[in-house]
Amino acid sequence: MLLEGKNLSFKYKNTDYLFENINISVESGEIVGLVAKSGYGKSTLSKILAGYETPTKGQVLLNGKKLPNKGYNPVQLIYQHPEKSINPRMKMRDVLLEAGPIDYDLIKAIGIEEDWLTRYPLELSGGELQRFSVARVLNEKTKFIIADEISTMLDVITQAQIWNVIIEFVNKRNIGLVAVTHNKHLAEKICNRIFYLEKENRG
Amino acid sequence: MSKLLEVIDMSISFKMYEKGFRQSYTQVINNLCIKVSRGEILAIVGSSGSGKSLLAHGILGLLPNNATMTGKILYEGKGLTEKRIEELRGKKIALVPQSVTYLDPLMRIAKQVRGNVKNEERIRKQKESFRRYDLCENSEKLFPYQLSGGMARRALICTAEQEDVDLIIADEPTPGLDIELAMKTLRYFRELADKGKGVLLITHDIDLALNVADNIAVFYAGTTVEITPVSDFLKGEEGLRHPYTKALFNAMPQNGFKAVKGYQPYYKDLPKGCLYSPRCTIAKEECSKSKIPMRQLRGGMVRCIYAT
Repeated sequence: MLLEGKNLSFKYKNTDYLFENINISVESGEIVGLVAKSGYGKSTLSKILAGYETPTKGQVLLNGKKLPNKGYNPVQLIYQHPEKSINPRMKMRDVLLEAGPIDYDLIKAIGIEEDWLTRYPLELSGGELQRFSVARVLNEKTKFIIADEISTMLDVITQAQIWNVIIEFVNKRNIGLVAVTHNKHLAEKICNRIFYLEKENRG
Repeated sequence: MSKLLEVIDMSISFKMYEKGFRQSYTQVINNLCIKVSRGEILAIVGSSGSGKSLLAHGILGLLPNNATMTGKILYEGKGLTEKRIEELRGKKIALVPQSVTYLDPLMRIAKQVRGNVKNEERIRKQKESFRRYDLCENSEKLFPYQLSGGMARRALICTAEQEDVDLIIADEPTPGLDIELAMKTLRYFRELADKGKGVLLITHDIDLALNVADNIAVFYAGTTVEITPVSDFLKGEEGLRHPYTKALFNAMPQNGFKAVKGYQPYYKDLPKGCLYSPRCTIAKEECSKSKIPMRQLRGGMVRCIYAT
């Protein structure tokens, strides 16, 4: 499968274009790094690719077709701030159940203890929460994952742990991954190729 | 160098309700000791959820009501009482909070950064720090939700620069910033330290910490397991003392990306002896018998019997 963004441009109301004419594509089984400076629109581009934001111009195509707007989204986004992206009123078990049945082997591999499932998001640290947001996208219906700086708030051991699980899953299920990161070493380690969002792309 | 901040044997526990009205105390930080001198940047690294932010909040007196703190905190040699910290907080000791949710969602960021005062000096200072961090004039009028993650982070850093502080406690100031901006922030901290201030830099980015810090304190499950000069960290595995620090080093993407098995114990069922012993490769019977004290080793400190 192929996920591609064609001639993507985006601007917020009353501002200049954040970026213009971006062409980016990911194939199944490929890990693409997305690197850019702070404030250049990485998170916005991530949201556009996952279909959560409509580009001002251009379109996102999955195998030549538009993303479905009903049912499970095959392009899943993992947000930068887990504390903002998880419903604070839901227990962690329900958060996971939203995405489908819980795979206990998988959550163990990510480093989630079963005991955490009965807790509320406020009772977990940022790093612990981030494992849940990773766990809920690692799902058999997921075809592409957009990971928006998911490991910056984690210690290096947890980082390695989570990335190793994601990479194993991605390879096994032939999933395409876009990894937004600032960490040069990490990008070099895990990515097949790196996409730079640079000033020339801006309006 | 004179000592600026000293935390001696700090423990923090939370009162929690179990079933009904039954209460229990859970200790999240145990016997923690650190010190920051004038002119020093002490970086604190360690696993997520090891109580790094709690330490910051404990020093600043920002713990929630159900928390109890024991131990001593000395600031400039004198005890830091509740009353004293209230006077110092924001004026002499500044915090760069960890999460961008600390910004008031209903206040424009420029106003938020300089505080609710109209004063030319303050405005000038705020504009100066905005310029330093590439926040353009247009962004001054924005609300936090209109900022990107990195911009919000920079606004948070700016707030700590507004007063002439002696001690900055920066709780993960760099995630979301690109290398250039992150380095700029840290270089600014270095400048402050060189002027005789103290910086407590809590971070996950060991790479960056190695660039600017003088000493590194490694946290695990609510306590310090090692305090080491940066130079030892740069030497690699042999320079380091504690097995956990070595594991951290080996997990960095450029050094193998290897994750040790297991995870940090949950604070409700901490092992009796060494907190790291269940995951440790060199652990022996003795390790799980009793608490391990910190000891001096090769110019640093370590909480391990077998470290060499």
